[in-house]
Amino acid sequence: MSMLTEERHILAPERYDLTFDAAVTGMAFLNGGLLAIACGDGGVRFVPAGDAPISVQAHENGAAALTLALDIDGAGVLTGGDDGRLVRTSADGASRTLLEAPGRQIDVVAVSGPGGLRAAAFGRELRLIDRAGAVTHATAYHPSSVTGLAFNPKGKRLAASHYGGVTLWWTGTLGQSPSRLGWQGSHIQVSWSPDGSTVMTATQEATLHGWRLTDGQHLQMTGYAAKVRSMDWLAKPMTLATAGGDCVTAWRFTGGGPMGKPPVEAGRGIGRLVTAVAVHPKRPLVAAGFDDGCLALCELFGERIVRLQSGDSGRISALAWSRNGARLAAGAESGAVSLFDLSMAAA
Amino acid sequence: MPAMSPIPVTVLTGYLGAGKTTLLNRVLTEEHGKRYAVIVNEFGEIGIDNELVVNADEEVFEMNNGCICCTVRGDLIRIIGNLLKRKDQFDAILIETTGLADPAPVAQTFFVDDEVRERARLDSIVTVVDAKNLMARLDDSHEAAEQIAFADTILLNKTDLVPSDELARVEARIRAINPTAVIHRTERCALPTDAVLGRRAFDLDRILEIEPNFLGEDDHQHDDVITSVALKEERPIDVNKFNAWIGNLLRTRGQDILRSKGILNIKGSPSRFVFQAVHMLIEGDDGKRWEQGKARDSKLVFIGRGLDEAELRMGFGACVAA
Repeated sequence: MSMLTEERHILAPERYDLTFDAAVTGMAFLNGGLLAIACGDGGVRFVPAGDAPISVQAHENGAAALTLALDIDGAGVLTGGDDGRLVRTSADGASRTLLEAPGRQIDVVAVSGPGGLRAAAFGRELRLIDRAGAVTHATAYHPSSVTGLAFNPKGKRLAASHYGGVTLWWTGTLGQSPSRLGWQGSHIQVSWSPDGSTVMTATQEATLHGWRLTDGQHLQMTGYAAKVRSMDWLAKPMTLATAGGDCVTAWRFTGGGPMGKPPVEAGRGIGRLVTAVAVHPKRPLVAAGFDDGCLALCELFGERIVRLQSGDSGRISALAWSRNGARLAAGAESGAVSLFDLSMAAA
Repeated sequence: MPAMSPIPVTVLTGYLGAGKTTLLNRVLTEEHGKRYAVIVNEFGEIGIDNELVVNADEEVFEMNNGCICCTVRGDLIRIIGNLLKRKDQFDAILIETTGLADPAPVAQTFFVDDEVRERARLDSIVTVVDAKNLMARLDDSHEAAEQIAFADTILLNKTDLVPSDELARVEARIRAINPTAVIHRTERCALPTDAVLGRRAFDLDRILEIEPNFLGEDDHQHDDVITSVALKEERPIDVNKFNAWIGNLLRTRGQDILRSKGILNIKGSPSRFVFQAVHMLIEGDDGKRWEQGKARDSKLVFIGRGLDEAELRMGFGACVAA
């Protein structure tokens, strides 16, 4: 049964609004349920449900936190900054610098819980960091700047996207014997499918490209209005939801797809560019953020769509679901954050 | 956060040792109360005095946009996107390129990428040349001429090291390559900041006049590969014929035509039609209205490799309205 049938809860869910005076650049829920937010003023905020946020200055001297990832233990976050630092910040206010690369921007960070590893890139340089915070492996063996990082589901392999394709590393031997997935053009981010079979990239030319590792088949998806800045997976039936169009474009990897099958278009009718997507952790639903601040919850395999907020907060730059899917957070470039409690509907 | 107007970007080119870093430091240390982000290349000279200096790898990527193929600086797209996430925004971004860099990919980045276009605009390209060594550089490399060809502003630097007749010859050779750039003769890059920043050289509404400044014939004829052609037409132009001609010209010869600019008297239009292009990327729009009772001459300037003046003249001549 769809949760959207309980419309009275969905249409007016409990919400909590916050505003920061810098762009929201990343968000994640910690294991304990706190929402962590990274901002363009270098701050990391932890928001308890319905309470005032705790603020930690992770990056100083005017630097911006460019990206955020939930850390291995789920009790803190990693942020990369344009001060060239990779910083771990936990909800108790403690922060620790894991990497320093002066004069560089650290804008690509990935974490593998199962692998117990963190990875960060600056320029062509890639560093692998263990639980203890030690750099275990380092390499610069990429043909150009690394634009995206993605671990495979088990954390044994790491994909780094760049101009001309993707370099695949084994995390145990990173720096040695890479394999390369080639495809012409500038690849701007990478994602590994939840079943481990496929590596997908978004390109500068507003397409998606994929490599099925099992049989070497290439996947090529076109028709986007803009660069795909955000993508997320539904594990079953395996589906890739993407931004970059005027609705969520979702590619089903079942029944012979995605090649040769039209994508599902979820959340049609809002008429604005989708800038962020986040798939619900338990249900075939996707949250979509638009370039005017509009926010919608869409069925991935149905027609229904519910607007959570209208567009007045500026481009949505980050979305996050709580672990159980009861809460949804949306952050905008304007610094506006909305936290929705959907627990009534989820129950 | 209110919607902000695009941040102006100034590109600084020139050979190693010409004085780029000196110019950068002059701009950055002048009392102006402005905040700048500086993007330097990986081989950049040290000692840039600014709170935010970002190292770039100068990664030139090919972009395939349907019918046009062009190159962009992939690293810049990312770096600029990241800079704009900062809470305290900058008054301008300065990009220093390596001595041997072709300015085209940098310039094209600001026309090709939608996100960059939305938030940053190319203000101008400034080229610093060493008055003492320029002649030799023009003879032994193509990059020196390309950097001059692309420039909106040229600092003819180290003038104190060169006698005035030699300086005149150097300037004449620069003019033969680029007849529209503003040339400043400088010592140690000393000149007011507003001579290099806030030029709005790529804004169509600033293209009001094109006065190609060809100096007299050089005493020593140099056959530089990069030259310029200026065309003038007193009769009104047929807009359809012109669009077809310039479109085809830049599509087929755009690799060799580095920059072009024009002001046109279109038949039936009360306003100037202005355009400017970097290689194949062209932007055009209606400009300022023509003044009553004044001549309405159409003028075009092309800067490029191996330009055929007769062919260009004939092509443009065929655009005259019937």
